[in-house]
Amino acid sequence: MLSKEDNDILTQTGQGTPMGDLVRRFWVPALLASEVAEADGAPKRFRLLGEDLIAFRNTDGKVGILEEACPHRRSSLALGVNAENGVRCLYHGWKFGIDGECLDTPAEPPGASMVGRVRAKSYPVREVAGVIWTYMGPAEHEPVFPDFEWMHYPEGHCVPFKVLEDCNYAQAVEGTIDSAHAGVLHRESPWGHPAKYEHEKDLSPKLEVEYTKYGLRYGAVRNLVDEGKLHARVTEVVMPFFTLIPPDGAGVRKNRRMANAFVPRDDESTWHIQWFFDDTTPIDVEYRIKEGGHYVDENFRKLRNIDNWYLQDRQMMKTTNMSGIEGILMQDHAVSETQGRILDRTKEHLGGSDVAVVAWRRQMIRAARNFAKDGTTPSVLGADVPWSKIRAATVRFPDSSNWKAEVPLHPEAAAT
Amino acid sequence: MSAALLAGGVDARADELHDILDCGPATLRALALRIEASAGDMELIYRETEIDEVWRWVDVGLGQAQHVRAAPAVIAHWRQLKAEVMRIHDLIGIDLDRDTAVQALRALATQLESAA
Repeated sequence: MLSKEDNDILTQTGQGTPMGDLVRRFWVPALLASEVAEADGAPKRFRLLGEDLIAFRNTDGKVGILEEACPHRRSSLALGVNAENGVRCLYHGWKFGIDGECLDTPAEPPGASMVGRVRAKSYPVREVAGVIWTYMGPAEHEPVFPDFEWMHYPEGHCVPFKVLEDCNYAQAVEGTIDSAHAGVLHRESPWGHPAKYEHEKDLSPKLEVEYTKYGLRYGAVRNLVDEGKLHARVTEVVMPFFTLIPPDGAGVRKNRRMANAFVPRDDESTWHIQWFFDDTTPIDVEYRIKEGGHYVDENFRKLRNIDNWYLQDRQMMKTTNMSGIEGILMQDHAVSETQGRILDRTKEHLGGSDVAVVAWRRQMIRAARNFAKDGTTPSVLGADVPWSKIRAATVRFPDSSNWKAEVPLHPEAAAT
Repeated sequence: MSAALLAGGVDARADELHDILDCGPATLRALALRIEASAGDMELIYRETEIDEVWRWVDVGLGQAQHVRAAPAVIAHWRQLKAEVMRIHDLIGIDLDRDTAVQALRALATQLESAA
């Protein structure tokens, strides 16, 4: 449970809030590169951290992110003409480059030109792993880019997906650091029927958490009674809102990992960006869409959503799976979204299975409080995070060992 | 392990999460011992989670008292308990004030023992 004050700190990400200012010190995924694939193509409108923005790819193929409203009369630059390395406002023709520099103000009288004077608010951009990233904080505090190992996988071995989640980012994050739900919500057999997978057999895994330089990691340890061994899923949680999920199952899932970014669109909605990656086998995109139930419209809104109650099928619940909802992603979104747009954490009843959630919240709230108090930033924003060594894992081991020994933390990643 | 088993056989190991099976005085005193033995951030997260679970039991108790339309004094007792556990939760979670939290837990345990 959290006090209302702490819940507000955790969930409010607008400019000027403790968490909003902290999150703006990170590079954040903004949109898929494919949304602005075409040079001189249509600008893309989107909202990020409560700010209305546009992205566009200029004639040279470079992407810019600008405030959506034209500095002149505040019309949307998304209506504008994207040509000759800039976007030109449809209203009076003011033109801006990808860095926000004003390049032309044709309707102004001679001598009153704003060229080189006025600027559109702009944010720096990087295009990495199929995603356009941006940094929305002060230029002098731009951090090291989070150079995860999977960002360098060969073409087809790392594929990004995007979907809108209709709730605050924090409860979306929490949904992926809660291993205890896997054997219930994602159960691939009806309740009361024999369990299909290992994580469905032991419904109350023992959770242990370890703080790290980049955030935390936790092990969900289950007892494989039949084999006399232990089974652990080690999930990595990277501040401020990344979770790295270990592989599971067989076939295409055997070595396939996933990274999630839950980027606040605003306080009541979240861009859920996922990368699926596998260094041994190309990602089967069609399989993943079906497996996740990842069917979205042109604005990345789910076709199965809270308004149609996720097309939950009561008959399916009796014959096929626990949830009656098709797709792992849809199941996760259903439980997170039905907590309310912003989860009221004063009313929860937490227990031992929620310890990773407690640890993450506390880490985030403390970081935001410290930052607001004296500008102290968390260690993840330092220059020496071993990004390429952060890797989620699934392991089996004898009960004489433990998950921390089986999946040792890189020495440079220890909490400072 | 043996050093962690303190007077009365209470398991005070601080480096792991303990099951919380009720919100009685013995549970509160054991929790106080573990808070005293807790050193780093991670151990305090375990303690905060245990207090969360105490709070859960208290809220269940309050709900049951309300459900059976218990006497106003009984409901007031549960409400006071709930508020105090929330205060202790934030002493650990926000203020990292272990000493005050330990004192408050022991005072609460004494209060419950007196009321029994």
